[in-house]
Amino acid sequence: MSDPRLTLLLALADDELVMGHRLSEWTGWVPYVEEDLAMSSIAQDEMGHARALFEIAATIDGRDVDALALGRDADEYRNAVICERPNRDYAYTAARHYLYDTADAVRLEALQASTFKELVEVVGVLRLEERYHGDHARVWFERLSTGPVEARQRFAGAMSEALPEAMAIFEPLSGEDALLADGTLPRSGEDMLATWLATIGTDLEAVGLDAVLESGSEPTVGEMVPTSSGASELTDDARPLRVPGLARRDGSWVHAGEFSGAGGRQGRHSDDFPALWEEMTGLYRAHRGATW
Amino acid sequence: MDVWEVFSRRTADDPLVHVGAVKAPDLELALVLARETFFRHGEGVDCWVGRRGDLHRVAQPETLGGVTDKSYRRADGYVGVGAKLKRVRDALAARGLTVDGERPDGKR
Repeated sequence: MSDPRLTLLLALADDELVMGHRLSEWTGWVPYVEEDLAMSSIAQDEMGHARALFEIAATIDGRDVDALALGRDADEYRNAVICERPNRDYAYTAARHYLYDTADAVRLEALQASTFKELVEVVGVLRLEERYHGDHARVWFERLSTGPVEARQRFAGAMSEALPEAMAIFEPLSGEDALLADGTLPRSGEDMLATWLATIGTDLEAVGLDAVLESGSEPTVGEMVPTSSGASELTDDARPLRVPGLARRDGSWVHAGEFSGAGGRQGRHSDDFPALWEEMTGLYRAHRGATW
Repeated sequence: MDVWEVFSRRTADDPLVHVGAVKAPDLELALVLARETFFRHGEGVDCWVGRRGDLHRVAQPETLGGVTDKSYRRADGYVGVGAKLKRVRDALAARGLTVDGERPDGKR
């Protein structure tokens, strides 16, 4: 994977693919049917967005869209770990939905100014649909954060757990310097992280949930994954990802420190990923090239 | 004075459709005026009014239905599946195989 543009495209596409797969698991099980349809549509949208991004990736990589989406080994996926986490309850699903979609909005807005023309074109289309996702996420954010005590408590708890992993959406990509140098990526991950944190910090403060940011104290993302050699090497690449800490400065929330170790963007996934990968890719692996 | 949107059902089997609006200071007068403004010739069998301020437009109506390929949501996305299934079934039958497993019992 020498072309850093491919690294970027796979990070974006894998986030959408895996997020879409997880959300699709709610189909038929959401507490009421209108919300079930809305969530199912969002899941389908994310899959469609993944497809559009894989189509560009295919022109660089040579493999076709299906092979990219479903034909790679588990450690070749570059999605952020938060996308692969099980849905748990609706509080966690809604908290992650809000964190993911607000982060995605920051990222897509930045990419609108990319020098990578094919990507800019696709990003413009995706943003039209992502705006609805953002509206939907925000409605639930407001309902649950201000809602009855149990809803608020569960939402705050879910938000605290999801936050460090959501920060890892902005984990540096390999080849990020090259992407920044030629303008493919107009803003660094850390720069976008700062914008995103200021936004969600304001939202959380507005509903009195800033304790979520203060308790964002578990900075390690994912579990220790044994290396192929079985050795517990202590090189940086082998350590689980640590995200920066959080601080409130001059009236807004900022991150302090840097990412270290390796997470989803390096193919280091959580214990939740293999089962998802098995299910998501099982049919493709059993019947390569099948159509219907 | 408020504007009240007026909706009508042409026959009992028809859907409610928007037919126009009336100005009225309150609900009672809106109902009375809508009746004579739109139904003097028996144009419908049912009439509803709603304050314009209580009706709201969705954001970005131009993206209703999505802007990426959603053809899989339409029934024509399934055209030919039955024929394909029959071809496969026949081809397997020629080899003495069957694709008809046990049917689910309809309960989950």
